[in-house]
Amino acid sequence: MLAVGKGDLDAFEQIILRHQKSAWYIAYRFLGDRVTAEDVAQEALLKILDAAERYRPTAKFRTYLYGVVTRLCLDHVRKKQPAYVDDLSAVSGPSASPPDAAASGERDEAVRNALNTLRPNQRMAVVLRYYEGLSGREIAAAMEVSPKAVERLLARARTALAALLKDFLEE
Amino acid sequence: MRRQTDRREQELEALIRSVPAPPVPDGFAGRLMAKARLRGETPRPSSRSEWNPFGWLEPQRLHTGLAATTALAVGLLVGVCLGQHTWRPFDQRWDGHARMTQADPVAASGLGYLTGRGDNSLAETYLGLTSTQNDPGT
Repeated sequence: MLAVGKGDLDAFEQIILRHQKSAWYIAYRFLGDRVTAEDVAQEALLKILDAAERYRPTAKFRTYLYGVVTRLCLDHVRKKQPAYVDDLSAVSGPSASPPDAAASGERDEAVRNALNTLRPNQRMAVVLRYYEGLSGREIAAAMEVSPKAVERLLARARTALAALLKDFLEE
Repeated sequence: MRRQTDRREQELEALIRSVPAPPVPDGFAGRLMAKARLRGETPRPSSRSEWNPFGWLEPQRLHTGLAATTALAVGLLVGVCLGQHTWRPFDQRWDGHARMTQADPVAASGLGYLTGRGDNSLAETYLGLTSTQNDPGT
């Protein structure tokens, strides 16, 4: 990052190759649309490039990246409510038999719809916890809230998701 | 009860995690690098608009800074000189006025044109009366 701050674009390319997956997955999982997710993920990485001169390595770069992507995603949904519009049936796996594929497709759709009903802050907390595997402190740093607030967001999200997805959970 | 809650949370977590996501789009890094290079070629207003209190010390702005400082110093010097010239006659005038008041109260009070008619002039009488009235001892 320090090299990027001095205008080294090759160093920036290395950062992109190393972290593009995280930026893309957070944006996609949260926004649910490939085109918008790519726009937001790219904007996040370009913002990091713009701010590289002022960057101080006080925390892990990963935490910094999550913070930027999270902020942009939340800003985006403040302007427009996202909707899971992508058809991901092709992503389920080619080896699945037709009935299994249909069942998993139905289940995935239900999960995506359930996530979409959550409030943006709750959905982001879920994405960072369950898809990116961040700790409570890391989520708090990325979302600029307290760890207690993260716990509350996750607890409410779990309650809502459990109610919405009860048909897919074993008793 | 607690164990059941934990199991339910684990199930929910497994269900959420089981949803796949498409891979990073092809050419993502390439498109991003193209935008980054384009930004590198065009000036960024955000970084230029940052205020730096010591910016005038930068070499390219030093000449401008020196010229501005010199102009300011010359202006202050001229202002001080003019101020001194304006202030000095006033001091002198004030000193002269004080000396004149002590020496000749009639002239100082602007009643000199009434004098010259002897000791019982109107001016002398008026001043005598007012000075007597103002004297707390009498």
